[in-house]
Amino acid sequence: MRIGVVELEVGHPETNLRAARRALEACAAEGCRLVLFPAYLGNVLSEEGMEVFLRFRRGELTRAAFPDWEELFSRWARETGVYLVGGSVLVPAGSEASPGYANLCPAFSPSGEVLLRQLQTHADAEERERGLVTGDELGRFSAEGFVVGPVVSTDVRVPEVSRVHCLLGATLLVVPSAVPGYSPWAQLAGLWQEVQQNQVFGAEACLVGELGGLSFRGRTAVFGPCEMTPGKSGFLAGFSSFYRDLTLRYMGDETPPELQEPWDVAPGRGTALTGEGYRILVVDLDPAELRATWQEYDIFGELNLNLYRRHLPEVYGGGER
Amino acid sequence: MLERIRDALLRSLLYYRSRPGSIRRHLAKRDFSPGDNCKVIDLGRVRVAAVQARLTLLSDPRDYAEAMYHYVREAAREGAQLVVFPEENGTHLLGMLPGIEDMVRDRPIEEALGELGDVNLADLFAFIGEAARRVHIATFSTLARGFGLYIIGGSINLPERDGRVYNETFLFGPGGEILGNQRKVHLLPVERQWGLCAGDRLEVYRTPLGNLAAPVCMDGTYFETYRILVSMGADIIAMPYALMEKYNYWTALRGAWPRTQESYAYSVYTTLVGKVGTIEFEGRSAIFAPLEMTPRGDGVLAETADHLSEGVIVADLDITALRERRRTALRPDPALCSRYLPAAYEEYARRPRL
Repeated sequence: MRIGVVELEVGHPETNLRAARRALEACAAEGCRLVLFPAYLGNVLSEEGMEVFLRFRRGELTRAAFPDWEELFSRWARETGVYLVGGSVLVPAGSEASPGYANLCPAFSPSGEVLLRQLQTHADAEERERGLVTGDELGRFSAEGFVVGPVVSTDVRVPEVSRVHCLLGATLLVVPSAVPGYSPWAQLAGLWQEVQQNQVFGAEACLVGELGGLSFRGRTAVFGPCEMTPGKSGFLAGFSSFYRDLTLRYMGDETPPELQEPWDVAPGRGTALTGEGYRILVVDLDPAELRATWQEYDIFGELNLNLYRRHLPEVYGGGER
Repeated sequence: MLERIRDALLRSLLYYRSRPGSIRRHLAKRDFSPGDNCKVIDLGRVRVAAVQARLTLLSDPRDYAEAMYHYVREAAREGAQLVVFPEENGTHLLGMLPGIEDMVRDRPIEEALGELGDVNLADLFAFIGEAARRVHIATFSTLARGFGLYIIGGSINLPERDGRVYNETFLFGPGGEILGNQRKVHLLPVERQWGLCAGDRLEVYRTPLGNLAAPVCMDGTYFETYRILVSMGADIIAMPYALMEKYNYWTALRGAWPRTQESYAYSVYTTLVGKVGTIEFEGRSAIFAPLEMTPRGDGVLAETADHLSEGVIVADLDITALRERRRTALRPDPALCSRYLPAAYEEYARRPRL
């Protein structure tokens, strides 16, 4: 399956709308069957949506009406004939008495049906303080021979989320992301390592630029198990600024020749596209490659279920929140 | 009949050569200063050492004690209060078997054992197990007492009474006492082929330095290990490794480093270097902390200079600060995890992906 992973540079809502639509069309023209957008896409496409995001950042609660982003994404998926993971959208949620926000990742089929509405299930201390309420369900959908597990924003730092997806068959984790500041280490500690400990593919689409007093500087990337990637880096694609920082700095003289020149997408994997306000990694993924990796060495083959049965109920305290 | 006599004689010889008194007498001639690193303990500054040890087959147990002594002395002189050795740190003692070095010099050990009939590596560890246990325990007990510090002596493959062989670690206290032992709970497929067995429990040891744990190597590949240990209170998780592959920065980064980030525990990651027969070990020992608790924001407090040399590194850990940060760290939602994880494991057991 060919996938398109879109990095969107946030600007004025009209510009964002135009850039997102063009990025989607560019992906479809390249033959992508699944397109992943970054976190908060549904907010940055309209002034009302942007206002909701800014209020969230200021810690103000709102019950403001919200534009019909779902109808828009559904139409876009239908018009381009792709599986569309519409990033995420921060929406007013909670009750009248206890308002808050939810971060929701919608996924659509090529015919425009809603396949999944995946809520972010974990919030860090700052998100909780700003009123983010979390979901309590995890869902997946099938696309072209893959089972796709959405891992929404902060959830990528909670290994249980990816583990549940992968135990239940996910072969591709998709992360709509918006990372404040630039820390390659935070990103490696996120999806890169989830991919390694579950031996699946992973794609992370980042929102970049200034928004709500934050500077989003995450790096869009596609990961695979180390064994199937150049130099065993775990990178199938990643814009060179991110990739080179890490590879050259830490492998030094031992950097394999194929990695010494900057590249965005691993040879034979696809291509990188750039347009006004966006960059895209177009990458080909094959489930047969995962199967070959597992046959070589399957991490899940050594899960110690008796150990988990013994200890984990206590870890999660009987399920009391 | 003759074979049984030979077998009994060899066991008697191993038993004799592994007598603890011989180890203790040998080490008694050594200098044990400084011996007071644990006299004053400040949870804001616990100094730990990670040993990058070289594996060599040693026929004389006193050579084993001597090699370990030098590592511990270096760590003690750097002020270490806890010293951690790598996985397979008892494998040096396979050298006690007469002829073993010649047997594995130019070919894989599995191939060499194949010539002996239905013998696997676990049988070898079982045969030498009692002698190796005596040497390992006498060595580290004497060193811990002599230098007055805590030691996790790396891992050693030891037989249980029922004949099963486990890869396990021991924690020695400053009085030389064994404070606990931990069996490896996640194996590599090759270890199963060797005939090793996985443990089924995890332990945390409460000490004045903080709460310690010592799972082994592949245990660090699974987030579940750290999640369980941290929920049991672990502050410092010793991760003895022995990587039988060419060093690669990225593949080495999997394991203890990401576990440290997602679980908020310090990791003392130790590796073995060197070559035994056709098996080569490479790796860089390191001491890991959560990203925001490291000066460069990369999760690394200390790391050895290269992946081929032996050496000792130290770092100071702030247990108090770690515990404070943990209070506000991102935690798994217990309701979500209870709802999904047990069922997901069971579902996977019914329908594995291969």
